[in-house]
Amino acid sequence: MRWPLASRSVAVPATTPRIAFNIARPNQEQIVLLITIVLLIVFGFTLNGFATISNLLNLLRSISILGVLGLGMGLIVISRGIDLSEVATLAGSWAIGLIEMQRGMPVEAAVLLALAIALLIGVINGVMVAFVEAPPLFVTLAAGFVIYGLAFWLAPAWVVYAPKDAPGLMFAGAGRLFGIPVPILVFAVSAIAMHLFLSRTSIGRFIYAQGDNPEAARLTGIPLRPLIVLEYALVAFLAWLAGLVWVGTTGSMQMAITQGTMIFDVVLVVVIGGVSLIGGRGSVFSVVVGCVLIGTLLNAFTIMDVNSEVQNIIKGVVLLAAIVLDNFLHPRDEETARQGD
Amino acid sequence: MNRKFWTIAAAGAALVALPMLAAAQEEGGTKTARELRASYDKSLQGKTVAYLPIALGVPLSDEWGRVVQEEAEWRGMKFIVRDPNNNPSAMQQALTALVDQKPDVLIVQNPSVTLLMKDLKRAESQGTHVIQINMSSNYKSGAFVGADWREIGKMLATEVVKACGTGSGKSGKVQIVQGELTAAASVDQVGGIMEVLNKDTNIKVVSNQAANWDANTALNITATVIQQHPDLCASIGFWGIMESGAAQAIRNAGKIDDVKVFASGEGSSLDCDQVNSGNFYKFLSYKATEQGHDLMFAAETLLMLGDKPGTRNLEFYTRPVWLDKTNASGANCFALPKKS
Amino acid sequence: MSTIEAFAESLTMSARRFSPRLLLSELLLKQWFEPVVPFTVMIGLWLYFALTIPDYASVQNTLSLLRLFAEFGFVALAMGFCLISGGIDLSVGAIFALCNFAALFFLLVMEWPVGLVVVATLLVGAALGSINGFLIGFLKTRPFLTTLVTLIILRASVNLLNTGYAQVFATNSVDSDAWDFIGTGSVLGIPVNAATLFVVLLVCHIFLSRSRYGWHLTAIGASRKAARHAGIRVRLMLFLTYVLSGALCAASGIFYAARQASTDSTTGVGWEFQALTAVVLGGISLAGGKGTVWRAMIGALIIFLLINGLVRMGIPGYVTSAVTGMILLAAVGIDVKWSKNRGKAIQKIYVNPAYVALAPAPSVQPGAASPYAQNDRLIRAQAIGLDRVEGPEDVILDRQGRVYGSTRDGNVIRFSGENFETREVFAHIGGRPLGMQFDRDENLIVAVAGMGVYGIAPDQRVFKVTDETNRTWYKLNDDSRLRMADDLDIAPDGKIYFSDCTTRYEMTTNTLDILEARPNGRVVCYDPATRTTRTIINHFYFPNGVCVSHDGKSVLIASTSLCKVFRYWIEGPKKGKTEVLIDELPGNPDNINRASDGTYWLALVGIRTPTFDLSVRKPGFRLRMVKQVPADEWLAPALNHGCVLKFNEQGEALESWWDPTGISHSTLTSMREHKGYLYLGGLENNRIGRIKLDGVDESWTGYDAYWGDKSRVAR
Repeated sequence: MRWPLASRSVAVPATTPRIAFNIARPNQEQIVLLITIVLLIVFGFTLNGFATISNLLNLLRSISILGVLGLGMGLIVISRGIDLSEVATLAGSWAIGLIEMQRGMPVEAAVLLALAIALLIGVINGVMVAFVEAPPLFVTLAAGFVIYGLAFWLAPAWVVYAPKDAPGLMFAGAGRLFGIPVPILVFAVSAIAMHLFLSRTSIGRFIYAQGDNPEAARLTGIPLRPLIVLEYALVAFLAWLAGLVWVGTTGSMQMAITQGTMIFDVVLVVVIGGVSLIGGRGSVFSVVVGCVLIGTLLNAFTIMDVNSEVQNIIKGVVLLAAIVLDNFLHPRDEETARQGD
Repeated sequence: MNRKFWTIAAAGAALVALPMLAAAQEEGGTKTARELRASYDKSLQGKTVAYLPIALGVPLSDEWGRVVQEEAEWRGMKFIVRDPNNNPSAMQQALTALVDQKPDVLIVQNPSVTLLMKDLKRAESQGTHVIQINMSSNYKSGAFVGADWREIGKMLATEVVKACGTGSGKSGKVQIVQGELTAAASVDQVGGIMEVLNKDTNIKVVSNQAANWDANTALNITATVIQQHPDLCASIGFWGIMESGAAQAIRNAGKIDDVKVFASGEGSSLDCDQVNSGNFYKFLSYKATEQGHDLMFAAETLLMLGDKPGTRNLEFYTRPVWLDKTNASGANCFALPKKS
Repeated sequence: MSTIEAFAESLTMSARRFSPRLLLSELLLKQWFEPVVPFTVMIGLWLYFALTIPDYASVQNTLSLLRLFAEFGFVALAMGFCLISGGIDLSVGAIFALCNFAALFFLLVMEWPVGLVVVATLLVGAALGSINGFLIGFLKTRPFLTTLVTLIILRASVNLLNTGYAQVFATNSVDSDAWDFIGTGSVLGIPVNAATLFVVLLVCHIFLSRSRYGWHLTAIGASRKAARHAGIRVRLMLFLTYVLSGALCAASGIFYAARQASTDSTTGVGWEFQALTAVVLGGISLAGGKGTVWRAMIGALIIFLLINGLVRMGIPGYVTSAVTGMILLAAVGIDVKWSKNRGKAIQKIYVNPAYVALAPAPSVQPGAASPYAQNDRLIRAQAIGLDRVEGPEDVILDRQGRVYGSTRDGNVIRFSGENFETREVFAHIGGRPLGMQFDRDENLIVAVAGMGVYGIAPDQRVFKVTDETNRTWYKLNDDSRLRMADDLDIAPDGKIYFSDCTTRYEMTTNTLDILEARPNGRVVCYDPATRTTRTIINHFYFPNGVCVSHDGKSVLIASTSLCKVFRYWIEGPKKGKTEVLIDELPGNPDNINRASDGTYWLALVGIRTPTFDLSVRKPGFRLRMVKQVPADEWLAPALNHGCVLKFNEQGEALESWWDPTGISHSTLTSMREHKGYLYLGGLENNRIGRIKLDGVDESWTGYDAYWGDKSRVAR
C-alpha cells in the first residue's frame, strides 16, 4: 500500500469544515466556544485570581493531557469509530515502561518500549475492527479489560514511580519553555499537527470520507482496512504522548485510572465540541473548544472550592444546555439525519 | 592413652546423655507445652479463613492478605481469597457464594456501611465468624479491626495546627484533598480534622476537594490551589498515593519546601519514599502489617473462644504512628509484594 | 420374510431420508438460531464453572445466582430496548441507583406502605426516563451524548442524596412482610425478582415481536426516516422507549432496595457499560433495529456468569479482567464472522440430493408397439395467442368456450372469439398462477405458486381461498405457508385438493427440489364448509398434477420426481390410503385432467433418459453438479419434447401424442379436452395449442364433467 503522505492534493474537494463564523446559524463548536467565552468573562470578573496569566496557563496545563487524548478520540470518532481503551493504553504502556526503568532498563529504551506497546495495542484494536469487523465500541471496551489485566500482570504495582534521575522524562510534564508549561506546548503542537493532518493530507481527507460513508469510501478505492489500523495506531500514539506528559507531571503512573471515569471525560470533550459519533463531522477545533470549556469549569470550581458532586451537576447542566441550544438552533432534519446519531 | 580415651568417651557419652537427662527432668513442663499446642491446634488447625477485600493489587489489601495468609498457613489453616476487582456487584456475589461455602472465619473489607450488611448477618447466623476491617458496616459483627478515622483526622489536624496555627507565623491556609466524597473514611477524617482546625482561629481551609483516590486529579486541584494561594501553609491528603499527586503539584510550583504536606495511609515503602524524598512533611501510618496481625489475632480469639458467631463484638483498633525522615525506614515501611 | 425385507427397505429409506446436513441447513435458517454463538458461550461458561466450582450446579446455588442476577437483567433489558430503537441509554446505572435510593427514601423516611413505594418508585424511574425521552424524542438530541450527560447529573445527585440520608437509612428499618417478600421471597421456589424478570421478559418479548408498537420500535431502530415516512409516530415512540427504560431500571432498583437495603456511591456504578457489553454480546446491533429480549438476556447472563464465576474461583482481579476481555473479544469476533458467513454456509449445504431408484422406463422408440411410442401427432397443433401469452402452465375452458391460460406474469389471460383472437387479462393475481379449475359457481380457482390458492369470480374479482395449512410440529422448517401450490382439483363435495410441490424451495428454484429428489412436497385439502386447510399427505415426492377421479372417490396425483402417478382415496373402504396407479412412466408427469371417455389425460414435462435415471441413483454426483456446474449446464430430463398421454382408471397407458421437434410444444405441462378438441399448455411456451381429437364426444366440456350432466359421479 502506498500512502501519499502530506500530498497537497486539490483533486479532492475540501470536506473539512471551515472555521467561519456564521452569526445566524452557529454550529455546535461555535456555540460551545461562545459559552466558554461567556464563562471566561463571567469568571474573570467575579472570581478573584481567575483572569491572571498564571491561572490561565494553569488552566490550559490541566487540560493538556485530556486534550491530547481528546485529539486521538476525535480522530477515531471522525472516522466513525471509538476507542474506549485509550486511557488503558496510556496507563498500561507507561506502567510497563516505568517498571522496566525501575528494573534497570535505560530510560530511552523504556520510553521506546512504552511506545512500542502502545502501538501494538493500537494495531491489535485496528485489526479487530478492520479485519474481524467487530464493533469498535465493543472491541475497545474489551481491549481495556485485557490491557488492564496484562499490564498489571507485567507491572504488578498499584502505582509505579518514575526514576528520580531522569530530567528528560520529566520535561514533557513539568518543564517550561519560554515560560509556558511544556504540556500546553505538547497539546498545541499535537493539535496543529492533527489539524494539518486531517485537513491537508489525503489520508486526513480519507478519514473524513470514511466517517461520512465507509462503503462509498471503500468503493472509491480507499484502502479502508489499512486506514482503520492506521487510525487506531495513531490514537495509541497520542495515548502514549499523553502518558509522557502524565508521567512528567505526576512522576508516576497508576493503573487504577483505567477503571475510573476518565474515558467518559475524553469522549465528552470530543462530542461536546461537535465531533459527531456518526462520523465525518467536526474537527480539531471542536476538541480544543470542548477541552477549554471543561477546563474552565474545573478551574473555576476549584477556585470556588465547590463540592465535586455539585461540580458534576453544574457541569452536566451546562453540557445539557449546550446540547439543547445546539438542537434548538439546528433542528434535526429528519430527511437528511443519519441513522444512529 | 587409655585413660584419655575413656575420658573422651565419657565426655561424649555425657554430652549425648545430657539432653536426654534434661528431657527426662523437664517432662512435666514439655507436656504442658504440648497440651497447650494441642489445644491451640485443635481450635485452629484445618479451619478455613476467607478473605474478601474490595480489590487486590492495592498495597493495603495486599499486605493484609499476605500477613493473614502466612500466619494462617503456619497454623495449619486454609486460606482462601476472592478478588472482586473494585466491582461492588461482583463483591456482593462473591460474598454470597463465600457465605454459602461456610468458612470458619470471614474477613471482609466493606466498600460502604450498608452494601454487605445483610450477607454478613446471614454469615454469622449460619456459623461463620465475621471480621470487618478498616470500616465497619452498620452491622456489628464478631470483630472489627482497623483505624479510628476520626482519630486519624484529629491527629492530622493537630499536627497541622502545630505547623500553621496561631503563633506559627504562617498564613494558616490549609488544603484538604479528600478521597471520595461519600466514603465513610473520608467523611470521618474530615469530621475529625474540622473539629480540631475550627478551634484555631488562624487556620483557614481554602480548598476541600475530593480527588477520588487519583493522584492526577489531586495534582490538578492542587496546582490551581497553589496558584491561587501561593502562601498555602499545608496540604492534607487522605491517602499517600493520591496525596503524592498533590505533593508533585506543589513541587512543580517550586513550593515543596514552604508547603507542608501531610498524608495518612497504610505505610508502604511507597509512602516512605515520598517522606524520604521530601514530598511529604509528615505521614500518619496506620500500619497495614500490624492490622494484618490484628486480623489473625481476632480470628484466633474468635475461634478459641468457641462462642456462637454473632454473640460478641470484639474491637481491635490500630495505633497510628507518625513517620518522618527520621523513622520512615525499615520495619515502619512494609515492602510491596514482588510478583513473578 | 417379505415383511422383514419390507422393514429393512423402509429402514434404509428412512435412513436415506435423514440427513444431518439437511437438519443443519434448516437449523441455520431459523431466526432463533442466530444467537447460537452467544448461547453456546453461555452454556459453555456455565458448564465450565459447574465442573470447576464445587456445588455450582446445585439447586441452591442456581437460585442464589438467579436472585443476584435479576436486577442486572432488568437493566440490560432496558439497555436492549434503547439499542433496538436505534438509541442508547447510558444513564441506566444512574437511574437504577436513584430509584434504589427513592425506594428506600419512600419506605424509611416517608414511611409509605409498600404498594405505594413500589408504584412511586416506578413513577420516579419513568419520570427520569422521560427526561431522556423528552430530550431524545422531542428535542431530537443525540442519545449517546444526552444520556452520558444525564448519567453525570443523576450520579452526582445520588451521591449528594446519599450523604444526606445515609445515616437515616442506617438507623431506620421497617417490619413489613410484603417488603421482605420483594427482597427475599420466592414464587414456586424461584426468587421473586427472577420470577418477575421472567414475566417481564415474556411480556416484553410479545410486545416486541408480536405487537404493532413493538414493530414500530424495531422499524424506527432500523430506519428512522423510513419509519417516519410510514407514518409511525417516531418522536412519541422514542419518548416512550426511554420511559420504559427508566421504569425497568426502577423495577430493578426496587428489588435491589428490598434485597440489599443499601445505597452508596458504588450502587450501579459501571452498569451502563456492563449492560451495553451484555446486549451487544447477545447480538443486539448497536446500529439499532435488530434484537430480541432473549438475546439481551443471553448477553447479560454471559457477563454475569463470567465475572461471578471468575471471582468465585479466587482468581486475582487483573487476571479476571484480562480473561473477561479476551473471552468477550473472542465471542464477538466469532459472532461477527458467524453472522456474516451464515448465509454462505446455508447456501453451501442447503441442497441435499437423496438416492432414489426409479422404476424401469418403458420404451418410447418410434414405431414400437408401446402406447408410449413417439409420434408427431402434435406437430400440426393450431396455435392460440401465439407470442401473446407467457408460459401458460395450465389451460382451461369455460362453458362459453373461452380459453384461459395461467401465465408467468401473474395474470390469467383469456382468449375468446371465433379463432380465439381476442386477448384480455382476465385477472391479475400476482405470484405464478399454475393449475386451474372451475368450481360449481363458475369461479375459477387457481393454484398460485408463492401465494396459495386464489379464486376469480366470473366478474373478474380475485379472492383468496387459502394461503396456509397446518404446520408439521416436528419440522424446523416452518411449513405452514403454502410455498408452491401447483395444481388443484375440486371434489364433488366442493373440497379443493391441491399439491404444494415443495416446502424447501421456491418457484424459481423448484428444479433444485427435483434434483434433490426428496419428499418435500405435500397434498393439501381445503374444505370450504369449514374454511379449514389441512395437509392430507405430508412428505410427497414433488406432487404436481392433481385430478379428482371421474367417480369422485379418489384423487390422482402425479409425482414429478418419482415419475409415477398415485391414487389417494377420499371415499370408500380405502379412504385415506395412497396407492401407486402408474408405476412406470417414460417421463416426468405434470398435470392430469379428465378425458371425455372416462379416462385421463397426463402431460409429461420431461422425458427420462438413461443418464438422468442413473444420476437419480447418485446423490453425490448431483450434489457436485449443483455446486460446481452453472445451472444452465445441469443434467435434466429431455425437456424439448412435448408429450401428452391418455390412461384409464386402471392406470394403463392407452395412447400418446408427441411433438418430437420441441418447436411448438415442448415441456408440455397441461392439456384440456373441450368439445372434441384438446388444448395444450406449456410452462415455457409462447402459445396455447389446439388439436382436433377424433372419435370423442364433441359435446363434452370440463364444466359439465364436473358439475353438469356429463358427470360420472354415482348419485
